[in-house]
Amino acid sequence: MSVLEGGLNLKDEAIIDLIYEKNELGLSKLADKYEKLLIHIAKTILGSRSRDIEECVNDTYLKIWNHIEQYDMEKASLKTYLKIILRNTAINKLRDLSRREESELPDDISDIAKYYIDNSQNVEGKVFSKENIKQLSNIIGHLKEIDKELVIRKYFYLQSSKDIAKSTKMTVTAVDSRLSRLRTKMKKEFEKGIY
Amino acid sequence: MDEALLINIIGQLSPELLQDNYMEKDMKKGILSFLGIVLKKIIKQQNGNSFFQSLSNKNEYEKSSEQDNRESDSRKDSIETGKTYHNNIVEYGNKHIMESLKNHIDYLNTDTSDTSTEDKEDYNLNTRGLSISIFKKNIRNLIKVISGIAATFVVILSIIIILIVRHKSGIKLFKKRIQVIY
Repeated sequence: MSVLEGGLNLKDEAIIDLIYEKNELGLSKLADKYEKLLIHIAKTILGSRSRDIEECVNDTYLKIWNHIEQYDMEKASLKTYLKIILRNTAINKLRDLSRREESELPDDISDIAKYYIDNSQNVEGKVFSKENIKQLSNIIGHLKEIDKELVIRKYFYLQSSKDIAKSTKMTVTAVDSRLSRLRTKMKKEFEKGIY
Repeated sequence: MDEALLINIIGQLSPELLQDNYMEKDMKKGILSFLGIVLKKIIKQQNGNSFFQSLSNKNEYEKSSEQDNRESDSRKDSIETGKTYHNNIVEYGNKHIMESLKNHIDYLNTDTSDTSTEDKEDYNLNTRGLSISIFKKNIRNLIKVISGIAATFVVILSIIIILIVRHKSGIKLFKKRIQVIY
């Protein structure tokens, strides 16, 4: 048995090389290394919909398999890319849920995910220019570390205020009011074009 | 800023901005607290279950088997069965706990090998509040006894020093008196 086939965890570079070569072992090593994390994130966004979670994780593998040449190691780690792909795939799943009105939502889905399901169609047609995205990147990049954490947890991972409060050792009310203030501040800065 | 809009736009941000490790932290916390709960439950079961305790004491079995030498062979057989049953339970329990611990610790070590975004906190089990103190129970007791003896010794020594310092003149007088008597 070679080292590759063994139980060792490969470095990201080796996994990427294998996927570049379209070697399926790369995909299985990728799953060995990151599957637990991906499932955890998918579960945070989608709740306990196990079939959706599985589909979401598999779609992420498929996307990375098909578009590995777009991966830029200098910009961010493989883990970050995987998280972004998975998150956007999960958001698409939520959007599908909002279209299927008859489908039942799980109880453990977060308040913000429910809100997104209810309101995603209102903002569906809105297109953002590269400048807008860059501007928002700068605004978030200039936030305090704790504020940035709150924004990313709430609007990137769609974590509930309760979970955020637990992780950041704040109260739920404090999280909500701080996020509300942050949204107002970000909106002002966005409109003024400060960054 | 509209929340749904923010959710849409935030997914398109630059990956450099999203190199966080919040979810990894949450996951590790979850795993460690879960392991802590499992370990506590196992310890409780081992300590609280009298059946298990009585089985775990091998000497008791040996004593009882010596006493029962005169009794029938069937009794011996039942004790032997009990012993093997006990050993199997303990072996299975230990193996299971160690395997699950090893798997989780391996996962925690390997999953965070990416250095660019890694959590700088040291996730040493000893520093994360996991109740593995039971493994060090004997050492801890020994340390307690030694520190108790040392503390007593220090207290006695300090009392003696205080007494000597306070009654210095008295001791000198006592010495002089003895000299005068001589």
